[in-house]
Amino acid sequence: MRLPFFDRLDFLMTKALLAIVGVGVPVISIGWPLVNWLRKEPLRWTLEGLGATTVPDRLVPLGGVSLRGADTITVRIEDAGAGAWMATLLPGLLLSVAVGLVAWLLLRVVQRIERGEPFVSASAVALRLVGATILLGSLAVSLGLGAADVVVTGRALEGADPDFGFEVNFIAFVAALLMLALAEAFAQGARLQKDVEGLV
Amino acid sequence: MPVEDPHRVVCHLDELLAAQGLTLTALAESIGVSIVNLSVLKNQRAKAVRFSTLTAICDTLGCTPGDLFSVDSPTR
Repeated sequence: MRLPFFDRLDFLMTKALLAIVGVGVPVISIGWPLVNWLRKEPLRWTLEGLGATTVPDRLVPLGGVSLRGADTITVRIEDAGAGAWMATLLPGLLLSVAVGLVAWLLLRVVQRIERGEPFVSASAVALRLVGATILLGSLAVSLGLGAADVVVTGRALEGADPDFGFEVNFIAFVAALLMLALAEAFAQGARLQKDVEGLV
Repeated sequence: MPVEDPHRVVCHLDELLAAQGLTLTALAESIGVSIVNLSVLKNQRAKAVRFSTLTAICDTLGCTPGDLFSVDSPTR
């Protein structure tokens, strides 16, 4: 069996995918809610911090709030106010910054590989930054989601006492470790490349 | 004695080519090494030489590695 190899079309598709992700994530996670806010649409938010998947009886929706509980509790707040909107935009903003930075750094690495100069210090540094951004970005997004939950719960439910919590995203953690390991491989490659320069 | 960087090895390819009446292009064609690489060697910009390249140069120029290279005395 012949294993697939990475050709020109694959490079093109990878670069296009990174560009789409780098632009698409901010559009979806910031642009879309921002448009809804400006159009005075109701704020919709899925609550995670209540530790329940159905609305507990003790919680009473405040005015202009409707609740829907299936697998998760989704709130719909009419005239949510700037504080609640901004709180719900925060995780998307953090995610957009992290994803945009990662996509841009990976795009530069892919471009260098395509040009035939993969093992340069700049690529090793870029991959280290990607690893650190994934690690810190996933934590920041999780904290942002927790904060947004607290704000939205306070705005939507009377008597609610949401836990402020965050989770470590296991997949992001593994991806960050892999990127950091890959960065070491590129750093070693850059050192070897430097040795080869000037070899006749 | 620790490895020093930069090195003090001097390449005498220029003189050996002149003595043989050969050009760098002719040597490059003869041994199958690119003129760019030989130019790096001739202009003292090489950091390392493959034994295969060294053998081919010595065979063509009728010299030894000792004729091709010398080491400058250290400057303090």
